Amino acid sequence: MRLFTKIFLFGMLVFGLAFSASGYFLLHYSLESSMAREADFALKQFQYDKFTVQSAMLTYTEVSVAVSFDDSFFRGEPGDVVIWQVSPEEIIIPKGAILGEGTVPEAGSILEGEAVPEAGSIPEGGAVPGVGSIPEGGAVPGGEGIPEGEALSESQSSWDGLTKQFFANLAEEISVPVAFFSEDKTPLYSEIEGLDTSFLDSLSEDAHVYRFWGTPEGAGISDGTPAAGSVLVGTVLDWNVLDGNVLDGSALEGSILDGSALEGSILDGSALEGSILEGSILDWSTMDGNALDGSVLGGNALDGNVPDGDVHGTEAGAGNVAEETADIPKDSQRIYFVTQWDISKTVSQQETLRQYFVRCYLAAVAMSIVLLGVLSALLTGPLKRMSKAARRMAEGYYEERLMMSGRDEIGELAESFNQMAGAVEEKIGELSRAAREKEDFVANFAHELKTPLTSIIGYADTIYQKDLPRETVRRASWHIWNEGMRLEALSLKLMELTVLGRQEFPLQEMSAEELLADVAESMAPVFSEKQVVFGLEAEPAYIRADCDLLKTLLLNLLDNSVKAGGRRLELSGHRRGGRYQIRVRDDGCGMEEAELSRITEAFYMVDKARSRRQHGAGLGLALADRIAGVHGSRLSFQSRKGAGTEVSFDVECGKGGVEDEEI
Amino acid sequence: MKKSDRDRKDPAAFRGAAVNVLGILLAFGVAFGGVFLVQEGLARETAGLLQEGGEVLVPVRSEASEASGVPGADCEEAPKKLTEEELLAAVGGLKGTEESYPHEPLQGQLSMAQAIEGGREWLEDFFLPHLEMSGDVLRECRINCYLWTRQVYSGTGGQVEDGLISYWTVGLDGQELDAGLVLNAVSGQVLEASVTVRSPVEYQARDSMAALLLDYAESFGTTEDYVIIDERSGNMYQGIGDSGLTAVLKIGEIVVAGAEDEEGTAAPSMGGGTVPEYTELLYIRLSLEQSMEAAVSAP
Repeated sequence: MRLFTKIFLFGMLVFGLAFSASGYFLLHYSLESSMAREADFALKQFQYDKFTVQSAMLTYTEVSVAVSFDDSFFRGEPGDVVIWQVSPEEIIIPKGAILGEGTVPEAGSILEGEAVPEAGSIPEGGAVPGVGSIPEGGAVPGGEGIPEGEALSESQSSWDGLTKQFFANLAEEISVPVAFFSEDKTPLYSEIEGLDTSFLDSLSEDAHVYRFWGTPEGAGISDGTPAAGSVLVGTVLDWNVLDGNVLDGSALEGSILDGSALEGSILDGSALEGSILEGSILDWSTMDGNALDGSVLGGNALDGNVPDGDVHGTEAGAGNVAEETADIPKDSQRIYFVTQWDISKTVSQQETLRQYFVRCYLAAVAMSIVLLGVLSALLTGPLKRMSKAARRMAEGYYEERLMMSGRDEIGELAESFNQMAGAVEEKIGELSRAAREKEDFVANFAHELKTPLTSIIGYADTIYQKDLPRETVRRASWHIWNEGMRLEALSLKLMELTVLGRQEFPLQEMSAEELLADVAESMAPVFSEKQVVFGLEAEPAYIRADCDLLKTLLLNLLDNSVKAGGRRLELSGHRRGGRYQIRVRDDGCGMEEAELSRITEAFYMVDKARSRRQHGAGLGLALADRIAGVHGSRLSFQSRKGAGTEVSFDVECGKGGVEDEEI
Repeated sequence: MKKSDRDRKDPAAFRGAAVNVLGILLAFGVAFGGVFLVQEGLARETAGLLQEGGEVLVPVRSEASEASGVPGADCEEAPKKLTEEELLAAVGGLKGTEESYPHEPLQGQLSMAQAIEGGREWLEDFFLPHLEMSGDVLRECRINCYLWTRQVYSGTGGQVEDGLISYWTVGLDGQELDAGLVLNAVSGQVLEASVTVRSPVEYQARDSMAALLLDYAESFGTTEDYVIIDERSGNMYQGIGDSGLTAVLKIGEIVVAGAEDEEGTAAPSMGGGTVPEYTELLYIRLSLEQSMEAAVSAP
């Protein structure tokens, strides 16, 4: 796999995992916190709504008592007075119980409320609805006194209507959809569509239970349809209908029974049109006219409810009233109360967030692709160029270099590559030069061998083939000797060269002045013979050198100067810091500048004819340069054709003979 | 020679190219798979939440077990009255600006029935007589009642730590009268009352209002027999104890029709001028404030 691919893959992997994980956790947290917040809102709102319902339940009966009279009442004929109240029971008070002969209570005695302060304490003849208020044999639905089911069904349907109206009105006061269920999970009123009644199983009186609920549309969140959802919150309410709040007289003692409502109405009938029927009591939720509309007042609702016989035959007695209470259930009703808190907006917001996330993600992917591509190109581009340069170097283009700058690792690598390339090029150059020198050496050596051997072979053959005069034989023998000497000198020089390259020479401290004087004295016969003017100028100093090698070096240099036709020779030595510079100058034929670089090569001769004539083999300067190398220096030449040559080198200065003394 | 080298390298080059292509495809797969997985995971999570949901039980004290419908019927002890410090704290909580939270009655707090009955009794026995109004106006009222606090719940459905800083708000909405009472949830003392009387009411003289304020303050233990009256606004103040607690009475009237009496004279006003005998709306606000400064600046 290419580096570009690796970088791209790794980058996308890191990016994908990091962005996905962070996005997931952010959205997950957002979703959870939103849901939790919605649940809190729902529970809070539910608590308020529950208070609203409880308030209504607690006070409902206080204002929902209604009294209706059939038209017989207004005609002064025997009839029924129907008192509706919030309970499954419809209290039908036979007219006889109120207005019947001998049982009609005096105004105030029954109606002032004090007559029905507590359940079971209804005074004789009391016609107050509720516990203890039912006259014996009265037309209480469900009670023993009800002769036929007609009245019951009539009453029950009325109750259902009232209940529905009650809950409908109650629901209007609650801002969220609500549902009421009876204890047997029969819907009393519901604004929540599709509510699964299994939710009711989890409800209890001691808890508020909430459940997130996705509406059918909510299932399509992932397929792009509008999200929907809600929080159902529910509990069980205990409706204490009969626990005294209604029937203890607190509710009824005033409004209905103390005369403000009924006092006049019963006594003269006129008040009914006002205080009760005009709606002051009945305009509230359940009594907004339904109960007292014309049908009721017209007697339809009440006709036949109470058989005449029951009415007239009822002699409300004190003892009988209390006994009837057993027929009215005292247990409170349990009602399931459920509200629905809409969270579709939140769900929709979450969906929007996810869509934003996807857009951001895709945009980021696009940007990351570009960035990773650029990054990969930045990283792999120099490497590719290096690879190409390395290949070209492998092909022999040692001058190949990387044109890269920068202080980063790539820049450092490029710099190192260039250094390596430089070193390789230099080394290769040296090797090439060495190889060429070797080739030249072998060729020169063969040539140098061949020349004297040809001469030797020729003269020897001449002596062998012919009878030559003595003088000719002597001359031929001299030539053979002479060439033999050349060969001997050649072999000695070659041996010295070989030895110099393989051996370590310990340097000793010596007097430079004495050394130079010794060399001059050795060369004195030659100078004299060649009529050379020699000058010596040696600054006193101690140097570290191998005496014999340094002498050989200087003799070679002086010999070359003589051979170059020099008439004036100078040998000088001077201190230069910690080094001692020795210089040989002549006024001989000199050399071309181009030849200076090769004169230290073995067998190289500037003027081959002159050299051979002078028994030269072209090894003197090569040997001298090696000796200078043994002393840590190189020969330096300055020459001009026809103007002479100056050769110099330096050696390390000693410590003034201390070493010798110690030795 | 070069061609044969190339031929030898071709299978390796092909494999390398294939690996590179697969690597890039994998990179794209990781990138686009990530968003797909996130989408899918969150969609499942949302759907799971909405389809399955969860349930949290919120402890509720059964009101029926705490109080029957008869206010105080099952309470052997009368609700305790708050000390001055407690009252100050309760008023402070009431005037706070933090969010309010409804909650179920805690142990020691009034039940809803008790709160409603307490509010009604206060209006009927204390407030309305000062207006020379009958309690009959309360019998046709729609009542709404809720218990709340400004303290933060310890989690959903948690318990309020201090029951004193909770309040029953009892609203009575009738044809002739609207009343909003705030009762301390423990003592049942009315800390704030806003009453709007709709039916024509005889003008209440300053003395009668001052008496109302005095009686109101007295219900909190003060024995002073004077009130401070702001002549400009007509507001009345009465200090309670040494804590700075102040009872405030504010009156607002909207005159709809000024009807002169039979003699053609107008009734005297609190400010000394004349006002009509009847007003369409009479707004009275009784409240406790933490200090006189707060009382003056109270709405």
